Amino acid sequence: MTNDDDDIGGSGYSLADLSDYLDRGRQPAIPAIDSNPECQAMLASLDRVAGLSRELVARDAAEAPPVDESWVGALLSTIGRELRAGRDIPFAVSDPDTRLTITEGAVRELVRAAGDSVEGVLVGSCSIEGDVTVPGAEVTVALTISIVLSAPVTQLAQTVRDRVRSELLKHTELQVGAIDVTVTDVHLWLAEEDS
Amino acid sequence: MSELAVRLDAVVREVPGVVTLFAASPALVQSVRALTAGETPLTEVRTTDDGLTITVSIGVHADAQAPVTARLVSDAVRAAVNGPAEIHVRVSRVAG
Repeated sequence: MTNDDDDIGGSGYSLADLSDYLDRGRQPAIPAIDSNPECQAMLASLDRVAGLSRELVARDAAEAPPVDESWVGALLSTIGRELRAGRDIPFAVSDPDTRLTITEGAVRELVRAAGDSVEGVLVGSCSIEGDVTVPGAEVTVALTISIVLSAPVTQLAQTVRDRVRSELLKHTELQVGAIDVTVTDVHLWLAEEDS
Repeated sequence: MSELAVRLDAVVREVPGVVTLFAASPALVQSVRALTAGETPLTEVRTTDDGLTITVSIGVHADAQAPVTARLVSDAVRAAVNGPAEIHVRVSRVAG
């Protein structure tokens, strides 16, 4: 169990607890984690980060300086902060007794997953600027990404932008303006570069 | 109210596009033992002077559309409730 700062989504479990749970193959099942959306989002992110960082560690061990563990720690801390439910973002309704919303945390996870789905890309931070609680108000999205240089940077960034916009159009009713992508880390596949 | 909440849990789980039902309020997960035994509904149902207030928290499949799924859930809940009710459907995750 945890103090409030470490508590993911009011579940009573910390990032370290979730990491252990993932390592155990989510067995035995813990209902307080399995019924909590922020814990589930964190587990999905841990899985993706672990996949790419394992690959980087394996490659870097042979070809370049090792991946900085504090970088992974800072990334996971950022993810934990951003996956908190946050504000309720409304969907349009015609019935005054009905309220339909999606959480800001769910949207940020959507953006993060869309970015991570591009091969060689890992999203660092993600923010949605603008008043998301007002239907029709324009919002902008800002992402930082780490990349493995498998394609030109501009091409990777544009693919991230396209996928993020597509997911936001599908699952939200936000008026999405600019999607700003900043590349903060570049990893090179040296062996492939040389061949 | 607990009986209605259990029934609504089942109704919501049957809606196309819904992949997970989450606890509508963290307070609902206070008793892990009760949750494990399936005794704690995840939908929140409260009684007010004006009728019922119902809150549902769902996970939507990535292939579905969150706004459409939320509307389907709201329609299904309203059809299952007799009398006036304020319904809040919150999409808490979208995942494949």
